[in-house]
Amino acid sequence: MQRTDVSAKQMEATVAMFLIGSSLVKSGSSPAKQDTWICIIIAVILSIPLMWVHTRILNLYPGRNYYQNILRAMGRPAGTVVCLIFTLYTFHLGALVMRIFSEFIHVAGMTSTPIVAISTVIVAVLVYMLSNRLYVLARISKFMLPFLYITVAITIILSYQNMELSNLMPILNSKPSDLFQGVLSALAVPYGEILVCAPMFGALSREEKIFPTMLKEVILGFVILISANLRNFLTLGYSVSVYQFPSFESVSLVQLGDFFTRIEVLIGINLLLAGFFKCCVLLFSACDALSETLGLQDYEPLVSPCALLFLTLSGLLVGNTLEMFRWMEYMSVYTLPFQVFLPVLVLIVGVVRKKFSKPQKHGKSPDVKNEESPPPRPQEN
Amino acid sequence: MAYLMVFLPLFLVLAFLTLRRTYLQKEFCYYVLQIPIFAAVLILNILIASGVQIPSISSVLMKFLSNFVK
Repeated sequence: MQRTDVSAKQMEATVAMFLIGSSLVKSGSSPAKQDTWICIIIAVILSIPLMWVHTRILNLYPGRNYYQNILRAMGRPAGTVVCLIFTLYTFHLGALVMRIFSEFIHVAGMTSTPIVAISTVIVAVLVYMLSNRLYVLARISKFMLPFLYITVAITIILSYQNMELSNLMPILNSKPSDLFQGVLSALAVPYGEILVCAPMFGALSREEKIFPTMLKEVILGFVILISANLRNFLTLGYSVSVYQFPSFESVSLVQLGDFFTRIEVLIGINLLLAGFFKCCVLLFSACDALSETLGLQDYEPLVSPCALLFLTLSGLLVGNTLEMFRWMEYMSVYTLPFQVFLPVLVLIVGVVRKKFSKPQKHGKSPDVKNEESPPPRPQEN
Repeated sequence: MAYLMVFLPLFLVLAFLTLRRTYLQKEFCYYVLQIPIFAAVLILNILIASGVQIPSISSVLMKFLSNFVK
């Protein structure tokens, strides 16, 4: 294993942090109201086939480079279109995530600070982190994930006295249509977004298997998300849907005597950490997609321009906070083609083309147009 | 004005460092992407800072998706 390879545990931590990212903000109600926790469980189960699809795409051809495999599976013209679509989706999602976190910091803590100033600082750190390659992000993720677990556990234990089991009753009283919308919403954010984590697996050390790693990542993220969601609902009840940041509000109720209060700062720290990692992964995915689509050797020179594009798009994406949360209601419909239909289509076409492609005399796949096989990309230094 | 005072230092630093590094490493193929993106980012941010009313991307998408979402 090379020094710059990412181990399975580091990858698990990175993707878990990614999944936790914006859902710590969004862990409020869905149309299913008190049955949201059931929707999350169903969404996790439904995400397993999605993970299998991404694993198959990564294993289609040696090298485990997601976008290169898409280009080879679909052919250059169609593959370029698909990669560009994924690139646009990643840019949109990255800008949205950056906007959500900047809004949170602005609303919850620094109300006099312009959102652009908060976003600027985030971008500066993002560029520095990603310029030092993905393995830095992975190592920090592995170090910081236990901190998230501990803080969520502390907030749950301390919120115990504010919890009422009756807030979860009656169970499964929601209409089937509301349950379905809740499941779609939970699948769209965050489990379907595992798509943008797939390119990172090119840095995973060759000895590790992809699907077990992905499964563990999702389970790690799911544990925190379901805990946070249940904590919010048990504490706040139906008023969860009223608040913009329900995790923050539910923890703000914790009070032990007169001295142990305002521990919602722990949620703020969690949010900053997880959200920052989510932005980083999205930026990496966008840069990787662009570099592969345009046939460039490395993604690193594109980090700064793409990060600035994230910053600009985050300002153009929504007009105000209310519009931002209104957009979240449309996310499940908007993201379905990107998260489900396109990867399935890529896999089907890739498997069929691979099955019926005739190997050339010198053992090369007919998809490789260059006379020599392309040199290995410097994923890491 | 305050917007540009916050944005421009970051933009200038990142643009200078990136373009310089690409020039020193003689990887001029990256200029095809870097320069247009930097230019577009600068123009868009100047428009935002000058107060030009640009419809938000989400509002446009929501108008289109409202046919599919109740």
